Amino acid sequence: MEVGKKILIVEDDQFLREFYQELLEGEGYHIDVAGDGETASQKMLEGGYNLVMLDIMLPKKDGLQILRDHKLNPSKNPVGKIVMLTNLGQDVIIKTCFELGAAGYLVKSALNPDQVLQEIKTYLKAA
Amino acid sequence: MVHSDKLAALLRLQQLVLDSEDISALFTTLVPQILTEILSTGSDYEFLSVVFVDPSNQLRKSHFAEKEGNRIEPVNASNIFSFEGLFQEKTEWVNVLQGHIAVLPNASLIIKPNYDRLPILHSVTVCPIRFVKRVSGIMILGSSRSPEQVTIDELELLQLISYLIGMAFRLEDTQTSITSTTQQIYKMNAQLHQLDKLKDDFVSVASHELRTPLTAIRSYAWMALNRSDVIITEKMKRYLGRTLISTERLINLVNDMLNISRIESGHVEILPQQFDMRDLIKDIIIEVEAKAKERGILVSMIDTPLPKVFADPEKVRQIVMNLVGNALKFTPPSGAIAISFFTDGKTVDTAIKDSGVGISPDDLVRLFKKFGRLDNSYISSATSGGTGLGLYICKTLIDLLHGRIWARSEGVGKGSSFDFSLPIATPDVLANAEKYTIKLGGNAKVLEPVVV
Repeated sequence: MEVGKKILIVEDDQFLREFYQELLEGEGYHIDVAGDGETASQKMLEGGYNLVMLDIMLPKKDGLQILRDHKLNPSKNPVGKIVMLTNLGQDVIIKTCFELGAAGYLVKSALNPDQVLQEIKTYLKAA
Repeated sequence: MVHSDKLAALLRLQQLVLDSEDISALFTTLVPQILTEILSTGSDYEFLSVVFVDPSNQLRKSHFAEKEGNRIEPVNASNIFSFEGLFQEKTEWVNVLQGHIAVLPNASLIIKPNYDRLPILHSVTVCPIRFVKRVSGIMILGSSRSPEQVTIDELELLQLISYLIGMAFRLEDTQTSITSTTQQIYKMNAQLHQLDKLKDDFVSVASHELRTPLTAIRSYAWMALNRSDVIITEKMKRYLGRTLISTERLINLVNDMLNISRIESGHVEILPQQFDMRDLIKDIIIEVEAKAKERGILVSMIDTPLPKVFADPEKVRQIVMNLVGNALKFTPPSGAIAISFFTDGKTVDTAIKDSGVGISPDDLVRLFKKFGRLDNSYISSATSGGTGLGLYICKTLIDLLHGRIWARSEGVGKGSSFDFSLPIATPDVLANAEKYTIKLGGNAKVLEPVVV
């Protein structure tokens, strides 16, 4: 049962952020959100998430830098898998994300909400 | 007859022109050298000047050399000559303008009174310089001798020298125009590069910016349909369903156009490797199984032994997904899609055959063009999410993979087959692997469209 699992959603677009939050809360997850890169980094430093859904193009600090910082500064509480959720799809970026420790890479426009849920469940199960 | 010493002088001058490494500075050395050579033949002149004009007889440039010149500053010919009268058709000049030498007794006609050697000048010899069939300049020599003392021999040499000057001028002119054309080309090239980069940047940014709101529209339409807290009527379901499908279509269109822009601008990487087409097809069949089942269509592969192909599997996957996707769209329920192979030892042909609506012979040729969607397929396209760009992308990609793509159909209602060939990974092909590879430069852009 996924209920009670904690997910951090990092997404700068308010509508999309609230959509993911609502969608996932509807499934019984605990959702925390960050709308910019710096907030995301701070929350990840604090830790305590089963999964982080991380956008790449973000104000203040981009997703790649967040991954780098996360690698260098261990979180106080464990952080489970980090999965990129973005609309960028350049091969180089995807490769870099995996090199920096991302567990998955999802392209927002390529997935309908059903598929997003499915992916998230898979990542949480494997965690 | 030109005497041998004059001929020798002429040859030395010619050599100077031919040996000149910097054509643009040629006249600065040539003009004083001409005067020196003329003096060495025993003809006495106070100065030699070469003046060039443009087609409207405006001064273009001038050079000036003086006998025993001890002036340190280079002389500006316009300080010495009154050019105003120089090229106007006065009686004395008609000959010159027609290409003949004139020896004039009255130096003050063209020389300004403040020229310090004016009092000792008793003749001015003016010799036209011809360039591209017209007089484009003159050579002026001032002498303390009277016109009668200037010999025919001298004039003959001057004539020959004027030809040489005309040639040198032509050389310089050509060099100048080549240099300026080259500069222009470099400049235009740089501008084109910049425009190209601007376009790519625009496309990439626009892609991202378009996809974000589109994803939001789709997400909320989906929520309204699937997570509504009130019971939604059938009518509302239909409205929302169509919103969802249309948004899907728009997202596909954006993605396809970005892919095309990326491929056409050469920003696509082709990394070929050896693989068995059957493995790739099996994976794809698993992937589309659910969707096919939903539509009541059977997708199968006819397994035959095959050599490995040499291609970029990701790109081949994209092509096959597109073709299978089309087959699913245009095949009615309880139809079938069969994927089979053929090889002639050089290529592996993959055929994706469906029992769908088929294609008329006229339409077969239009298929692979941009927005080449067929009229009778518009009906299904509204619901299928088609963009009219899929086959064009397939064609562009297969070209990059050194393959071919074509379509066959017995006609409308008789199903169709979309086939493509890929090179077999023969030792010969593998030895030329770099021919099949496209690597992106190191300056890959940060924002690139997604291949979905």
